[in-house]
Amino acid sequence: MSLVIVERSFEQPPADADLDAAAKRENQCKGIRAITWKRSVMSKDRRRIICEYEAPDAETVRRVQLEARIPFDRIWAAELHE
Amino acid sequence: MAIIEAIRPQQLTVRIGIATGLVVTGDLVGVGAAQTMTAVGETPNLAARMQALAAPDTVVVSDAARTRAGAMFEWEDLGLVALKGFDEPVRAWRAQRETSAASRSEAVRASALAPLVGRDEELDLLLRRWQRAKAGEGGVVLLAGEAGIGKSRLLAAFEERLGNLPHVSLRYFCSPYHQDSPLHPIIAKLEHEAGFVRGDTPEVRLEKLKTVLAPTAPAQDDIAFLARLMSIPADEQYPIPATSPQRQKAQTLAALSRHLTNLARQAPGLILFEDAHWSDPTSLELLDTLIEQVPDLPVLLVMSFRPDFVPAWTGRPRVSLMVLNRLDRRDAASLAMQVGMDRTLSPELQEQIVTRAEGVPLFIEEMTKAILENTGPDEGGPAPNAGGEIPASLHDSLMARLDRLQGGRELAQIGAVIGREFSHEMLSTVAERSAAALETSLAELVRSELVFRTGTPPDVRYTFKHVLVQQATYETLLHSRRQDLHGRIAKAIVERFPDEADDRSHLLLHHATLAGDHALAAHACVAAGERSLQIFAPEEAYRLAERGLTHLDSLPDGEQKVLFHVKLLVIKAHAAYRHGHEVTALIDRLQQAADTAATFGLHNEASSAFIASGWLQQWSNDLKGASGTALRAEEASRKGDQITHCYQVAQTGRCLLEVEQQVSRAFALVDEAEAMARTLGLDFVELEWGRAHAARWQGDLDQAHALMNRAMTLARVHEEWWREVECLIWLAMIDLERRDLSSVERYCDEIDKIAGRINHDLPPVSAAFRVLAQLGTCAGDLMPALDQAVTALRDFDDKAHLAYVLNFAADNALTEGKYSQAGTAANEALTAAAAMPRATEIIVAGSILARMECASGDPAAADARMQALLSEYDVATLSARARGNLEMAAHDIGFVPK
Repeated sequence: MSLVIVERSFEQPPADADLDAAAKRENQCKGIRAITWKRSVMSKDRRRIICEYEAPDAETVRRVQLEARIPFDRIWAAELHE
Repeated sequence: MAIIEAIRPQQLTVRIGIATGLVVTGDLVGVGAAQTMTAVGETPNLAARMQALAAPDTVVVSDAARTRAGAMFEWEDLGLVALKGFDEPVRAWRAQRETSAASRSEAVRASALAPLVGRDEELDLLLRRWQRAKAGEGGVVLLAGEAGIGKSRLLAAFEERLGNLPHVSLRYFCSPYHQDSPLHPIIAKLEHEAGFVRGDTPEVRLEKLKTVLAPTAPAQDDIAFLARLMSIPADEQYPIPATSPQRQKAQTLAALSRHLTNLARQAPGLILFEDAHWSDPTSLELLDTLIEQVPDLPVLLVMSFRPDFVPAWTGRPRVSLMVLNRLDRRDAASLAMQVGMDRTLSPELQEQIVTRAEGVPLFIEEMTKAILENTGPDEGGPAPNAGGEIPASLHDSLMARLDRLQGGRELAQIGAVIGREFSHEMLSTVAERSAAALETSLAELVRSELVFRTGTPPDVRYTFKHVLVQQATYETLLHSRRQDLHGRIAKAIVERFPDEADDRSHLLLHHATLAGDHALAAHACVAAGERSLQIFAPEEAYRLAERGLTHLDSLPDGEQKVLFHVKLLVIKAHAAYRHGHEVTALIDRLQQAADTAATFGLHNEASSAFIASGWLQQWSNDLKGASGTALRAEEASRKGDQITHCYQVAQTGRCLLEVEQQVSRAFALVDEAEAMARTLGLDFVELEWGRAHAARWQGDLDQAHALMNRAMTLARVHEEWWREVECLIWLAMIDLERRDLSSVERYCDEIDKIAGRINHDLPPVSAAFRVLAQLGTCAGDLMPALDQAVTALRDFDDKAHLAYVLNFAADNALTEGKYSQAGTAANEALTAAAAMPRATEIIVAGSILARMECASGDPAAADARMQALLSEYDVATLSARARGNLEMAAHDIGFVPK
């Protein structure tokens, strides 16, 4: 499994209701494709979000974002450095 | 003056001279602390002469410097002075002391106002009413007068007279662009007071609103209604009490009224409501409520309007009507002289100005300024006694003033298209100039005093001196240019301020209408109408729906028009229901719209039109009709639900086939979706895509190709670019498997074309597929290109396509007898496919490795590999591609299952 990072940015901070709706749409797609959401971090002004997933590859995560109509800037496979 | 104060304790005296104007600056001169920048020209000379005129410990300034300092100081006129080096005598001023103006912007603005002439009686009446109001006998003054007659100027003078006396002053402005925007003046004022800025979260806005409301200690329900009014979602913290819409509207108005009257109880209150002829109906309702309460409050409410507005409150106790008339010839001449700031206007010029301006103060002021600006520099020199061209109208005089501006002229015109007031941000978006050029031209425009600047960067706003100035500037533009600018402004509202597009839907409507963009205008009517209903303003909602429907006449028939039609009719139905309009014709229109929506497959929209029609029938006591319509609504809704269900079933089936999970269930889902789609008359991408996967799974590549091609075409028609790309990738793969290699190149070209026009990175498959299509047919060395393409897939982390490409290359290498190369590629394919996992590519890689092992002289290893594959996978459940590869390997190595 790969650690996959999704970077998102918003001109205006999204409302909680919009984020919940996006998560719901994403859940419908990602179960089938063996993707697990790990965690997300959000900037204090709520305009930038970085999401971490565990997935077979980055391309699978990209397809799910497109299928669930969730905007993103970049998607990349990563290695964890602790 | 601060310098003088600072130096005085040192027992030194200082003389200060100031002049403003152009200077030429040069290199540094002198050394050490004496090093200074040289400045030469007429202005430094004039400053030096001013300094020479100054008595010890005083500041003397030139005429231009005094104008720029505005009303921030009190001045002593030193008269015209003959100075060495200047041909004409120059006027000089001594600064006496700082004034008590509250802020710089207010001071500059106050200085920019024309003198108040001939309004003593009116001002006295206002001051008398104020004295009574302060004593607890509140009153209302209705101030009527034509455009440019000086209503705002009188009110500004009145406020100025109240000065620092303790009172609460609330000033509201109506706008011609917001006549259908419920409570716009109130909302705009509250937004301003609260300091809302773009990007504030709902939580921040709620806190800011509560801070503004805090002095009047509002009840929880009042906060709930006012938060809803300001479009702040606060239902969790401050739920709206569950009552009828009419009751909610009454409670909103009562909450606002309580806020205003409680403010007034803390100190005598002055409420100015300007340009009421542009008011929305709901604001007038609020005023009605307030006017009833005013007699018992220490409040003076002054409402200004043009004569075509007929106020409903004349004749009530404590309500006075005041009409501002045109100035007589004597006052008009006096005003012209005062605007001329003592520069002599010849009796002939005075006469012409007075005659042409017909006693309207704004016209007198503008015409006088146009003449004076045409007489050269403002440093001294009398105005011409005769010979100057007198503009025939306000328009001509503004044209003359605008023509003298350089870059400021175009900015004034763009600003006039945006509105009476415009933000720096919107202006810079539409004007498309460099920041430096914009700043220079704006400074010129502000200097012209046609426009005032308020606020501090980045929230700077500009306001035309008078709405007539804005209108006259607007009229200097050609129709085509206006339309273009309105279109650019509408686009900027939607693209650059998307979060404000709904809040600003009235502005969007104004600009979209004048840009001739009927679809955008209809969209704005829907947004503004829904918002009006939400804040319980049915009359505005009704008018917006009607206005939106007129825009539909200019739209081509199609799905978009049907969607807008239903939405606007539903808004109209809600508004009609709440406001008592005639509804018989509306019921028929709703039912026709529902039928049309159904023919477009828009069943949810059909359902909402039927539901709205049902309410109206019920309300009109047609209970039988209402129950029939309710059944039709339910039927349409069920059909709508079935369509949604059909889409979901097809998508799940397609996904499962793609990831090769629960394949038998996936086949059943695709079949189920196909049957539903046939019944509902549907045709959509996901279904054809799923059917194509099913056909490929079963080995019918021709059928798979036809279905995938159909899915791709549907995606293209509906502009779903990512589905189009996915289908093109699958088409290329199917043609690689069908050995239709020329088509592969074509699909790759199309994928690259889409990649060039979208903002997303696409998986780098086309380079790899191009190499695969040439393998076995091209004489050249394809390995470097293949390595590069495979590296790109690895870097992109696209394991499914990486496994496919490597297996294809490994099979070709094996055929060419390159066993080591085949083994390396197949092993990496196996790893990538296992990570996904993808059973087909695992088996293809395993089969290739078994054939390679056998061909390299290790049949035992090949046999063991085949045995392991067969023990792990049930052949009957595998795809045709997996089975074909297994059969080929079994044949090549003579494998017999144990």
